[in-house]
Amino acid sequence: MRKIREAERTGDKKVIRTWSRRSTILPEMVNMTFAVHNGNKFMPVFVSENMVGHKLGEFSPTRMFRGHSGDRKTKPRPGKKG
Amino acid sequence: MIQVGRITRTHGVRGELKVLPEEGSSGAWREVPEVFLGAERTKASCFRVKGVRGGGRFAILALDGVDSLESAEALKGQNVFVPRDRLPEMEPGSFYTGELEGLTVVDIDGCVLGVLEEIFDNGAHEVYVVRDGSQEIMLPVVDGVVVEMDLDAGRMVVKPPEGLLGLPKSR
Repeated sequence: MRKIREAERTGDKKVIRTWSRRSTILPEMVNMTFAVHNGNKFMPVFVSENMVGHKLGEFSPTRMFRGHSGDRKTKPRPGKKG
Repeated sequence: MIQVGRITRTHGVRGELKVLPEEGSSGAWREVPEVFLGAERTKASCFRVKGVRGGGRFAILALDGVDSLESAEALKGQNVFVPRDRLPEMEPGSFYTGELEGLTVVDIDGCVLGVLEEIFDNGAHEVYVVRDGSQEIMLPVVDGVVVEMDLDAGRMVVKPPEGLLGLPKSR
């Protein structure tokens, strides 16, 4: 929380590293990027408004199915600023 | 060539094949007139599609020239590929994941970060896994991160969030 308040105060957009998967996402965290540990490595999680109330750990999966679906759709939205 | 599924077993006695589409498949491959079957995309052989049915977890694929149980048995375990140009066009700014995998990822300063090897969804947004040897970078796909995409040049320019590149691999 100390780091979040500091980032909020200074407007710093730096990724905040955390092991606290049980932390509830608060409105202050919106538009911040967290690196949430999944037991093995840090996964980047960009917090948006509709994630408020969830836990950080919900967005950092601990088990991964490594499929190869090539015809899924992805939309990287090139060039836009957040 | 984009991988869309795998033949798990035969179906019935008329040479039909049971296909398990890959996780998250859009189903667009069901409309293509021909598919390529093989262990790898470079060694796949072409088959004309007679029909695709089944809307559940599996699809039942009927191919020209595969009319008996014996000929279908020989195709068990093969991967199913379709050429990219046979899939429907996406709206501008959208891509098939198979098109992006293998792109060289560079940052806005021109420094090569690695090759895009994997795309997954973490529940909040997509994450691009970029690997360069043992080095792995996970990029959140949110506004402003992907700056430029050049499929012809096989290159993607990204602007990683500040502090992301300095993250330790684990602890």
